[in-house]
Amino acid sequence: MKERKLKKTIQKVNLDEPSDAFTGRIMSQIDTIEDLSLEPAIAEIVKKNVATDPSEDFTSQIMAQLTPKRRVVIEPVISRKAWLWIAGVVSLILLVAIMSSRKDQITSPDPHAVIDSSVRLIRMYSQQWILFLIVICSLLLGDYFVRRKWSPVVE
Amino acid sequence: MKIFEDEYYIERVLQGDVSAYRFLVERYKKMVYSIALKILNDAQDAEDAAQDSFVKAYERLHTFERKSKFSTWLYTITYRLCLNKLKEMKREFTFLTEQLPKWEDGEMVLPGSFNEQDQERIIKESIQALPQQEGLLVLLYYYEEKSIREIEQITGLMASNIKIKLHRARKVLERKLSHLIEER
Repeated sequence: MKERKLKKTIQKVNLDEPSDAFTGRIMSQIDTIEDLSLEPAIAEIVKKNVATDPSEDFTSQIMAQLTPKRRVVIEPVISRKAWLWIAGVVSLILLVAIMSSRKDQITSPDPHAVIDSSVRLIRMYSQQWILFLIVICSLLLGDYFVRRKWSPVVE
Repeated sequence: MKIFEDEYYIERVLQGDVSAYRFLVERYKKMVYSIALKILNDAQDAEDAAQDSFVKAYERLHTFERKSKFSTWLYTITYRLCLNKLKEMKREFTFLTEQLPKWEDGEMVLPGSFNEQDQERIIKESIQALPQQEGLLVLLYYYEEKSIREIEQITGLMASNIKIKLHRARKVLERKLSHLIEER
């Protein structure tokens, strides 16, 4: 309580104020600092003279220290063999679909039997299909990122 | 244009063509050497450091992410390598402890007119007379035309600090070189 009263009393006292030109002076100082442009004549001569050349055999000394970089060959995540397997599985599924459609043809001579049975087959194993698609997509994405990230060369 | 050219040669180096690196060395050797010289203050040490910087940049080229210009990346390597060398030599870059200019304040009093060689010497001496770090900032800002942001990246200094140092250096240079301007 006492402390609050003391604070209020102190806050009643006006603080000392700097001169009216105070803010203006600071702002003009900031403006001067912001303006870093050299006088054109000086800028020109500084630009011509400030950097120093190294020795004449500088470049050849560096080049002598370098060994060729070899590109690291990143094997794709989905190998050729894996693609063959995937193609084989898809072909097998189609084959099963065709076979089952032929069986159906005996009972119902529907021209779209192959498509129907394929759709049925897909519906029957919908969960497995989704899982299969997720695996393929992940492999493709992984393949893309691995190639993109690590394809640069290392010594 | 310069960036695209750099990119082309960087790509060639990454493909295994070492000779393409010669182009990058030729393009940036003067600046890399000058940075090293500003920091190390010794021609032989600076040459060694500049060479090490190029070799290091070559070894790490695959990590260059193209988020900045190649030159900015290269100068950052040079700057850090030189500071490490200074540490090894137990010397100090006037980073915190500002060294005083070798000359008295005020413009240079030189008799007669100046030929080109005189001019070059006077300018070099004027920049040399700046505190080491200010000299380096002049080199990066006025010679190489790096932005404050790029200089921040290279040196790790804050933009406001860079501006104040550049402002101070500019004032000193303009005062010292006023004779040359009047001559022109």
